Amino acid sequence: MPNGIYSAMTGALAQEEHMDIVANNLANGSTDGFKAVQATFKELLDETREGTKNQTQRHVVLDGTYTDFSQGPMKHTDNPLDVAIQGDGFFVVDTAEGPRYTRNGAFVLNDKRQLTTVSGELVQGTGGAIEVPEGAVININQSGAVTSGPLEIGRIRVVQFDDPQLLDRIGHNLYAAGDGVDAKDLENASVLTGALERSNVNMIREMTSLIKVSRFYESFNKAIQTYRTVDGSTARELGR
Amino acid sequence: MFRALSSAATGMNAQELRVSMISNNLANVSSAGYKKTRAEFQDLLYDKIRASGAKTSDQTTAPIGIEVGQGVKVAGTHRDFSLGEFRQTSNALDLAIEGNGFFQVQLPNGETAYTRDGSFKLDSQGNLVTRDGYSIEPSITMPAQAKHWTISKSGVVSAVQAGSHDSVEVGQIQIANFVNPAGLDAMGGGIFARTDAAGDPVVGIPGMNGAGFVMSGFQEMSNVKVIEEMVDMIQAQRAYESNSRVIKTADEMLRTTASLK
Repeated sequence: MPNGIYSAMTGALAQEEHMDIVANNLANGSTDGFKAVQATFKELLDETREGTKNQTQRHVVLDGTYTDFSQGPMKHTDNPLDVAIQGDGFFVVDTAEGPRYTRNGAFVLNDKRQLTTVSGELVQGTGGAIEVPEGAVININQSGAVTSGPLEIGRIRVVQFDDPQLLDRIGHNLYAAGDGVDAKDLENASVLTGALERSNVNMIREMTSLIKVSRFYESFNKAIQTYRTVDGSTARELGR
Repeated sequence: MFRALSSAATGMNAQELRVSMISNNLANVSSAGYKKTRAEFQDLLYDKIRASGAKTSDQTTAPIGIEVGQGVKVAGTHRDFSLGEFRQTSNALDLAIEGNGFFQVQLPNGETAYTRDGSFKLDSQGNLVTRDGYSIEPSITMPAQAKHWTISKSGVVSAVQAGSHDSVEVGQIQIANFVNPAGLDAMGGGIFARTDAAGDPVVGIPGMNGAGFVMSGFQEMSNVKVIEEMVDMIQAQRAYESNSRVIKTADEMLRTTASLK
């Protein structure tokens, strides 16, 4: 019996996983600071009993997912605590598990007048948490400095990574850095105030992927069906 | 595949909530002192099928991992306290706060609440009350023979009594300022209640400690911008549509598989 039916099966399974990824991207089309996930696939060759690779038996599997860190479009909100990074870099927030990184700059003040994310994680400044004094009207400038009149209260820390692909996505718009992945302070960060970076999910690209996924899936199923028919008729014809 | 179905469902839920926010904002476009709200979204946890940096052989490691997301959730709703437009009414008792802060009012249950809607009226006893009849705190009572009254930028209420030409100070309007007004609890009717997240109010006279001045004869309109809301609505509708397409496609794929024989 031909093993092609397994090639078709792995192909269909890979498309299923691709579908999950597309669905997550589309679900996060309105999540500020979200970066789209892209999938890569690879071909596996079957190893035959003699240890040589069988060139005719190919399987396709999901090889990996990577994050498309390209800039998302900016949305002006005119809210003084909304900030967005133009170009490379991440904001640093404190969580119970240590520092985490985010591109979502929809910040608010907590009851201690400290700058936090919407979920309450403290935003790191270059000199610790940023605390706004009583009655101060604050302004955040292009380099991330938080000022009240002529006085600098703090500076929002912006870091970058040699290879941001090594960051782990942990949900809640946050990324975690594993061992050996070091954050480097970005000296000349460009921060836009009164704006949010929208999700960089490209609707057209995702919808096209969706169509492709479903058509590929259909054809793999068709192939499985054909193998079954061939098998059936072979058994019938030869067994006669 | 079932992840795709549930991710798309979370996406549709999120857009539904966004449309509810937009429609509430639009419905309140003419409510004095109304502050628009927006929804903040976050991606859900990721299934880690393989971590990046995992060993692929003795010498090599995978440069990227496999992470499959599970959709979106609402992280919170954010009230935007930016100033609304001011409309002149020529009624001395219509007050607008030119900057941060809230008027304090006393609810029927004795609790203090906060509002930016300063369309005050006089009740039968001459007390300054909101349009719902909640008295301002500290209470201000106009003398019965008052002919006309003025309210200064810093909140001093003075009245000229019949048969006199001198104005007499009858009260002082105070403004409560919050560290984090976005954390206040909206109770409807333009009234907000204090919460721990909002912090304790700093009460003072208008123009002090970061509070805005009071403008008599003006009403603060809602800060909803119709065009922005309409654009957001179109985006929400398209996003909802694309998520429903995912569900439809996933369903078709499952059907193809189910019909294999």
